[in-house]
Amino acid sequence: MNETNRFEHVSGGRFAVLAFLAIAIFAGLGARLWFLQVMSPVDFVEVVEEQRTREIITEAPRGRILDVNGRVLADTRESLVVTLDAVQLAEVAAGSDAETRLAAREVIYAEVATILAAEGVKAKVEDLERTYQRAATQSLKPVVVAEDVTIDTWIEVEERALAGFGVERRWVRDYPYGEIAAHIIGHVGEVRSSGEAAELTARAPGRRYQAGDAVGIRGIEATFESRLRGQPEIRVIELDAFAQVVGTREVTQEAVPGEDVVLTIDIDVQYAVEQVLLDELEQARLRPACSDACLPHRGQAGSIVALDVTTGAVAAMASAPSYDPNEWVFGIPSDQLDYLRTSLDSPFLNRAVSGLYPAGSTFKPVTAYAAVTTGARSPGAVWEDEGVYQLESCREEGGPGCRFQNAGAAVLGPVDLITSLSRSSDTYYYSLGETFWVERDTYGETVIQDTAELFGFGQPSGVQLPADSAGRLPDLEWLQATYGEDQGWFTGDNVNLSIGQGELLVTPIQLANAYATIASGGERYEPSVVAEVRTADGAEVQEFAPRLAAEQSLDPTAIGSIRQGLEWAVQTEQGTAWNAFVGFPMNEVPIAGKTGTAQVTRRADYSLFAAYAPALRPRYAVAAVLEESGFGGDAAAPAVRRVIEHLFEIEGVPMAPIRSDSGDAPADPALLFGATP
Amino acid sequence: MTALVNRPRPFGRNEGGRTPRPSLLAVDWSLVLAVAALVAISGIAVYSATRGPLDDRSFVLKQALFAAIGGTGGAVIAWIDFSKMRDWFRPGLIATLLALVLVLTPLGKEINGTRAWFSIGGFTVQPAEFTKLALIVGLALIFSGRRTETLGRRLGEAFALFGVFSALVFLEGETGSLLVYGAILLGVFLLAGVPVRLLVLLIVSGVGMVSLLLSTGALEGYREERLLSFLNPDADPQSAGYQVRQSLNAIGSGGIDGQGLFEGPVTQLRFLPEQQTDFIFAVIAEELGFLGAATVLALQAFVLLRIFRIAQLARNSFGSLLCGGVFAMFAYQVAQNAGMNMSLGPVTGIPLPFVSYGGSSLITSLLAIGIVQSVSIHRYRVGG
Repeated sequence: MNETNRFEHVSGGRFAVLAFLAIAIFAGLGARLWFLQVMSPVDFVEVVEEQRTREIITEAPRGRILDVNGRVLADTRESLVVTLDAVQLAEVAAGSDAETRLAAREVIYAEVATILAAEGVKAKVEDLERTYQRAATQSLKPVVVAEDVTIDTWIEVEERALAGFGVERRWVRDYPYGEIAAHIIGHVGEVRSSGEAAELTARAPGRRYQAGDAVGIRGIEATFESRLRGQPEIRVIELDAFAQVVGTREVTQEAVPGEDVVLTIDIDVQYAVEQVLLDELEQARLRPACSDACLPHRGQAGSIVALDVTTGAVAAMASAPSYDPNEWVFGIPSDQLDYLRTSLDSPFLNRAVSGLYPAGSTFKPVTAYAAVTTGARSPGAVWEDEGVYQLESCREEGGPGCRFQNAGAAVLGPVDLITSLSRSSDTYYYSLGETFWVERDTYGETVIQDTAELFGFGQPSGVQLPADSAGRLPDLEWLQATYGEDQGWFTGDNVNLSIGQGELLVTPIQLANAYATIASGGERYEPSVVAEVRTADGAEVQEFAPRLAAEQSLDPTAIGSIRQGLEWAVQTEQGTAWNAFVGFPMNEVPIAGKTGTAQVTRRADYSLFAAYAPALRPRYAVAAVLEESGFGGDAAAPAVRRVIEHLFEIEGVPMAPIRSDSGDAPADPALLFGATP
Repeated sequence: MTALVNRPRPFGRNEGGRTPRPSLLAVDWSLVLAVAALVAISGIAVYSATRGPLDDRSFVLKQALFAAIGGTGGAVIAWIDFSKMRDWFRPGLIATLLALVLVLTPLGKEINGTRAWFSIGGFTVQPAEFTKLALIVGLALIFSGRRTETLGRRLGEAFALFGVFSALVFLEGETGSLLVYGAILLGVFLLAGVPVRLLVLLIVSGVGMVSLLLSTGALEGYREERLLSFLNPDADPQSAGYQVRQSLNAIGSGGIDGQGLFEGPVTQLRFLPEQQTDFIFAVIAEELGFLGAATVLALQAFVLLRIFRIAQLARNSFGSLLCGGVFAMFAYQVAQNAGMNMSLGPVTGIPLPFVSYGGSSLITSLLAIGIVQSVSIHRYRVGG
């Protein structure tokens, strides 16, 4: 075949090559198809299922928090809210540089701010950008920037089609009483990241969280989170490729509304107690300090706890300063919130359970009980109070470290157990403190600490609130763990402990509960702030019965004398609390109590008073601690008096003017803290 | 039927009575049936891919219209002796070139960055598709008959034709069609007996050209991205690789018997972009499973087998080469389209013959079948 006529016919060989190529192509395609559809190790059906469906978690309405009379302290209501969607905002001017994108967002913010201004909501452009940055970095669901907006705003936002902003119905938390009982109720905040959501979910399976959901942060909102939250609805929706919802596949979990928590407090009483605390703190600020040498009364903070002696139920629990939990409801960071967070007076701190204070003289009943029960000193034994106590163990060499004295070096003369309490003799207890340590082979090294535990010190109170502190009951072990192995427990440590000073720290609720224990003669309850929890429809009610922390019978002789001493402190003219209770109808409601004045380095004295009433058939125990407010009899005792007046609905009786030289001032602070005067 | 058979020859010149009349018996009916089956499957798949929640039937109705137009045109061409192509080629070539140039002017319409369309009464026409036919006819002409012509001259003409078409189509941005032209060129060269070393050289330089294009960035970004994405479909889940991934999801979840017609989630929820055109194969694979997709491949193979057979039986090399060009065109398009659906090759806008939605493509394919049928019908004619 020559070159030209080979184009006359197609050769068989060329056909064969073509056929071979085609067969190869189809063999390859067929094999690939078989591999993908029949043999593939990847479960494509699963992959498709995952990308076409999404779980939508919708929070159930959160349970309410009610007072004992059913008044709503924390409410959930449906509100029309304006939301900021970080995912959508991120798309604004996508593709341009950061500056252009920010400028584009700011145009939108300005429009939103204008719309919200009509609602009376001040939303600054910077705040909205801050909110966006936060939501974007923490992958939140759309964040609420304004709540309770009107239909007009809804329409306006929808009409203007502002990218990233929308209006929806959301459950919002409302605290109608604001600052009142804020520390008990607590507040909700938002779950800040998907990591946090996963952690919360792991703790409470079935109560799935997502970033941006509400979660209890403080108070009952935190401790009863699992009951209040309820079960969110989990709906599996089907999406198309454009993320448009096609429909609902299934509801894998039905919503169950959160349960209602009923507190033991009466909000009126709570309000009254908080007012008493604020008033008395103000009075303390106005009262001049003892002299130029004394530090000024700042009277900035304090706490009052009132417990039902027969059940341990909290009747009132005040902590000042307080805060408005509603500040937390908005997604926008507020100036007020920033202030609260940075305030040195820690408004968020629930001082009733987390405030740590030296007990001062209110601790004396513990030492007294130890003295009687160990036989170290009988109730009737008379001690000559010379105003000053020189440690036996270093009487030889003398020196300032060996001298302990009463407040103002007052000489009380002969005192027994009862009058040592009512007149608050320090030397009576100094000597006991020394005796216990010097003769520790007989009494044991920790007789005071062990006794304190009987009254509930050194352990969390057990109340259903977060940060329920154990306080601090110091001993050699603690000293060495804290300050080093070379530390030793000396006589002076025991002497300080005997009058509730030194390293001892207690919380107001511990103090109230210790006096409730004295009042009941031994039965110690765990304080409870929750009366019952009930389902939203009220069908199931779980009552919170009193919980005994310790069923113990205390030595009746010791307790009898102590109670008498506490009664005399209030009801006799020589008692340290006499002035505070002048004019109080003791025949109707006899009161027993103990003043305390605690030293804190470089601060004015902390004023303490712990009491129970009625003295013979006790119903309530009340403890008050007023920081930097002076003598126990001056600030805390009047506060407790007014609380008791409210609890027993006694008409207010004008009080006698407070004597600023009332007793119960402990020894010279410098001596107590081991420094040379 | 007899009436038709006994009709006086309506077409063609009388070349001395040596030629039998065109006969319906000479029509390759099995090829007709296979193509009809593919078009029917196309109708179902396009309907499934486009009906949406509102039961949109416009696509499938248009596709039916295109099939009718293409089928009619194909039948007409089949009835005419393919040797008439010699006379029609010149005006056809001029019309094709005119269309390819005009589409670059403002008369043309740009879709997805490709200026390759005329918009006529609500329909879009893509000249690059019909150019395939002009190329096949032209190349077959160049390499058949003309005994005295040298190989060099023939190659020169062939490259000139291919070059002009390719350049114009490249300007349009239609790189996909360019590859089909290349396949046609190679197919015709192969059957025409172009020396093997030249073919090898051609393939090597073709691959070199494509790599050069990619490395110099002469391609616009998205096209390069599409070409490269098949190497790693997961690199960017939202763009080019996304298509391939969704295609694999669709095919893979089809299994043996499929998710059921109109019940494939990837298709019905529109996760697959361009699903009625470039990714129709994945739609079929998802909803009708391996059985459906393999049937499509088998029908395509059968179509090619028949074309191959007709090429062998053609009465002259012109007929053989016409069939060879059509064969190469279909074979390449099936390989390319099904291959990219299964992530065996880069994503290019090449339709699956007879199945992908699109008027220009379907009509061109049916006209091509008409040419093949003409070769079949007129295979006994010895003259011309």
